[in-house]
Amino acid sequence: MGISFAFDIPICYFENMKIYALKYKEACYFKRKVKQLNKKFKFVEHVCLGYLKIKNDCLVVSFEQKNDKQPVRGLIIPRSSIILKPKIKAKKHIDIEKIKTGDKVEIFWKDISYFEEGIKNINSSLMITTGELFLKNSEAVILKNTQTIKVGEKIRRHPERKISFCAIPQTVIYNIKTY
Amino acid sequence: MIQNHKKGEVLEIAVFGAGQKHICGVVWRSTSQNIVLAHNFSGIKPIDISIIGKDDIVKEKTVIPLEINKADDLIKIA
Repeated sequence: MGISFAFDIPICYFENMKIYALKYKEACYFKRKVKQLNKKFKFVEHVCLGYLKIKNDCLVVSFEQKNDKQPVRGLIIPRSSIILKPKIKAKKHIDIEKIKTGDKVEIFWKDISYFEEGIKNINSSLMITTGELFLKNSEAVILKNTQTIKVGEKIRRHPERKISFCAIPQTVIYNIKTY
Repeated sequence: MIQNHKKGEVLEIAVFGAGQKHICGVVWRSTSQNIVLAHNFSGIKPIDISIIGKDDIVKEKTVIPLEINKADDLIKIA
């Protein structure tokens, strides 16, 4: 049985502004169908290193900070993206059993965001991806013929180039609608 | 000041800029003039780096990052 950990990390576990090394997983995009898009699909683990600051459901990892400890450049990572330990499963918010291959779906999820001139708001990026369910496994939902938009002050397409497949980690998904 | 930076070493560096700033990362490359620090890796590939002129370094120290998820292979991959 998986232990729900990613959303239940006690704040006291972290020491603010110390240097941490974090492993996380991130959604990925493909221009065309590639070999790795199969049932055994796994996300490439990312590792980042920086001064850690915790805010709401996000972790701010800054690679650069000013003398007054204000972050200059770094990443805002939703807690649900963090890989804590091998074999510890992060909590999933939605039940993906009900969706089937070929279903047209709209997925609401949280993405990692990059900043390089300081941060105004510490919030994870909210994303909406629409497309057709290509496949799902224990860790990913993969859509084809997708379009992703980033919801914020300005709604914009993400990524800007045209992509055909999008793999989203299940732990960062907070809602799925079929249409 | 550390003269020979080892690849894979985690450094915290204070540099001159528009006001002093602090940068941390894993040493990826080091020459007599510059040091390349990697901050973010996709698998074993660095995807976010800083190139710092050694003359701009005010202070530097080796650190051992705290790990919240066994990112201990950070050194191995660098």
